[in-house]
Amino acid sequence: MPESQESSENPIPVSSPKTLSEMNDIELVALVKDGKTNAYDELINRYKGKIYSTIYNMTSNHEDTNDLMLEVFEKAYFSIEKFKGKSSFSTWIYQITKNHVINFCSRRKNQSDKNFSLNEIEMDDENRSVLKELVSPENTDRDVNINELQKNLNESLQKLSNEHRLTVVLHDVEGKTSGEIGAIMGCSEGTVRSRLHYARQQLQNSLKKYL
Amino acid sequence: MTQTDIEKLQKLLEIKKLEQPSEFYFESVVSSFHRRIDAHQAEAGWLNKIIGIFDFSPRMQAVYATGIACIIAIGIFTAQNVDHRKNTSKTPLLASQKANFVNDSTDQLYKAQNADNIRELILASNVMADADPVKTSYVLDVQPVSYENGLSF
Repeated sequence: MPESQESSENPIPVSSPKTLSEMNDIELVALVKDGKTNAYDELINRYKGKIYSTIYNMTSNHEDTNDLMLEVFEKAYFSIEKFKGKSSFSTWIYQITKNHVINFCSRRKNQSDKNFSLNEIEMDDENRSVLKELVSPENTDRDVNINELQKNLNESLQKLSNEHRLTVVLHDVEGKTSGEIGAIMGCSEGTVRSRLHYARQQLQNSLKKYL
Repeated sequence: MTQTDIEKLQKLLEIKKLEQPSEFYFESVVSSFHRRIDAHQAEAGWLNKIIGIFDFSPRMQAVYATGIACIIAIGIFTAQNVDHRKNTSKTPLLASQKANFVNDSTDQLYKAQNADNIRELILASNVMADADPVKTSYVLDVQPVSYENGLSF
């Protein structure tokens, strides 16, 4: 009887196996290396939105982004053995994305083939209020055509060099720090800040009428 | 560029965050990825499958290595035999051999008529020519003199 009392008072914690969604990236990568492909599905689900966003903001083309994103995940899957955990999985997959998208943009620049295929901005109530805030109070034309603004914004971004565009996208759209961007792009934080300053100046000149 | 300018620009860039694909787009990403992987593996073809067998089975590697070694050994052995036969056929006929042919001219004629190749025909003809000085004799295994390059003195 005392034994049962003891066990009921201090129950031995039962370690239930973690589900894939509870695991961190490194644990999932270890499972993928062991041949468990469903662990890679979880990694795709975690990063698809971010990788899509980065590539889309670099290319301004949904169809190209779809292909490039799948290629990035495929490339990462086949070279997962090379991932030794020296950096985070996030940095590693962003590095693959950066190399892949910059190669693509360089080829496209040579072919002088820049077709926009922009996603629509959904005009629900929440977005509408955000968009109202985006337009400067000094700007008298409050009913600015959002589609025109979107097009001009994308054109201005495309005028930047690949490195400057990626820096501004990662910092001002994705919200990454200079340190993280430096690790992804393989350069110092100083270089990142310098690129950011130059890119913002260029954008300010191009988008003067909206600021 | 002032801090206010930067903030205005950052607000404007937030529009990029609102540009999103259709609602159900992301649901199909994993299945699209698996389709690509399956297609990639199907494209790899039979050669990669064979290489894959060798990669994973040391026994198959040993069998493959032995097979290749045997093929190389047979190749070398065969090449040496061919060279040996060639060298033997180039050996000039001995005088005693010629005499035997001369002694039996019918046999020589028969050989010349039934020669399998030009070499045997010439040899048989030459033996008969030795017996009959009027007949033409042919020279074997001697490079012809080039009148263009050879007479440059």
